[in-house]
Amino acid sequence: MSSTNSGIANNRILITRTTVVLGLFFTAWRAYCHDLVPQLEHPVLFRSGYNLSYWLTRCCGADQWLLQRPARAWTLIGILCGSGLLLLWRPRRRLWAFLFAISYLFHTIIFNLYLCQTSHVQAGFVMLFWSFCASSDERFAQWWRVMRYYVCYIFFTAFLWKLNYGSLWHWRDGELFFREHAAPYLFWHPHTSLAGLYRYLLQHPVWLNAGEKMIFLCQGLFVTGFFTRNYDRAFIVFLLSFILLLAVLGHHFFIEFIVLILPLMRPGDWERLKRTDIQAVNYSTT
Amino acid sequence: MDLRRTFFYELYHSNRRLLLLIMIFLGWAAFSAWTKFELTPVYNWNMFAVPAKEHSSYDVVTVEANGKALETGQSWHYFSDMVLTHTAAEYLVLKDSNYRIPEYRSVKAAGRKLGLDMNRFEEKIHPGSADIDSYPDWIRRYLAARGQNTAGIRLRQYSVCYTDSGTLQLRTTKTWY
Repeated sequence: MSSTNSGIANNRILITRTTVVLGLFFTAWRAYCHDLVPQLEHPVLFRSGYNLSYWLTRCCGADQWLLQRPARAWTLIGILCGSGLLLLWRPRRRLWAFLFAISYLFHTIIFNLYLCQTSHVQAGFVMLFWSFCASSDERFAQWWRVMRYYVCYIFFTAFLWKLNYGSLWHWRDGELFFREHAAPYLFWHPHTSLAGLYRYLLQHPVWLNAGEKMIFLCQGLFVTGFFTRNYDRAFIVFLLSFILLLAVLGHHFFIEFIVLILPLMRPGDWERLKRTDIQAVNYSTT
Repeated sequence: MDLRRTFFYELYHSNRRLLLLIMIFLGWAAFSAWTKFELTPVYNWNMFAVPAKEHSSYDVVTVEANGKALETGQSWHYFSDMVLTHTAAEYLVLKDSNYRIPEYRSVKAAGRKLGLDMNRFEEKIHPGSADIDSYPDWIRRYLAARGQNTAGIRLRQYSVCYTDSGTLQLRTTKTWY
């Protein structure tokens, strides 16, 4: 086994628990905000778009079957949370991992169908949970490395699309995008300090346009992640900045993307985290 | 480049099932990129890729209860706002287009060539007019479940434009129900 694989394999339990805790935390947050399928009170509008998963769901009637009786939808949430908790208790049990991953994916598909919008923000969890179905620690390490490539794939293909459709070459794109997304906030909150910042940026759009191009280029740099792990820390910093900037200026709160940091962490980071955890336990017991 | 040091080479010798899954994923991703289709979780990451257009005015769509907006427009409340924001925007698109959105033309044409009943397919993947018209009732139901006041519910579309100083000026207001 390579040193990277053994480093990840030795920390399987900690990686699994951290990811699952994050998944359950955001599920609880969504429940608090009435964003779970059984809380939608049998929605009437949906948007299938050009998503084959939504088409399949609609054509086989799985969504209608689930929404017909609240008990069925709550059972799905029960399976999601129950298997998540059992996976925390027994992180190597493949059955709990499979149930957790499949129920999360199914819930995501149905929720996004009735949200009338494909929310990419859940794309991290939807894929990462499948790693925990690995039969051995060594295979888990391979899966986890694939997830790291998946993070690089997300950002690099985002860059390629911008290259293809042309927003990378359109200088005023940042300003025009900002005008569109800032309008609701400026309309309802015109006297806050954030609104003041928005007005400054609208008067000095060079910051918006240059900043947007910088973000696009940083996304392009993720291609190096396919060849070396040397820049993973820089990717983590970019990811955090990306979430923050998109929340403050773009009004898209991609906080669930934070889980994408975990595959970028080095085995040494997990070791340090484990030692801190053990020290904390020893401290609390003495 | 020594191919024996690559991750694919390692997988080929130790975990061919995972290698096959990666190939399927990449195949699907390429197919979805080529056809512009999506298959969750193989997304197309083309958000903000199409150049933004300059508009003379921008729409602010909002659900209001007794004249007070229920969506705050703040990023931190994204989870609380998203269902109202996205469904209201979709409702307006469907009403504006007289219950039909000009989609699936190429898919329907391809399906008909294969002798498939594409009208039934469209009924399945597109909400009916009765469903669309019952959206205001659903909003009340959903807000009541959230424990919010459902008296005086209105869906409003404000058309606003920017001044040179970056402030907004209200042009028109349209009440949908």
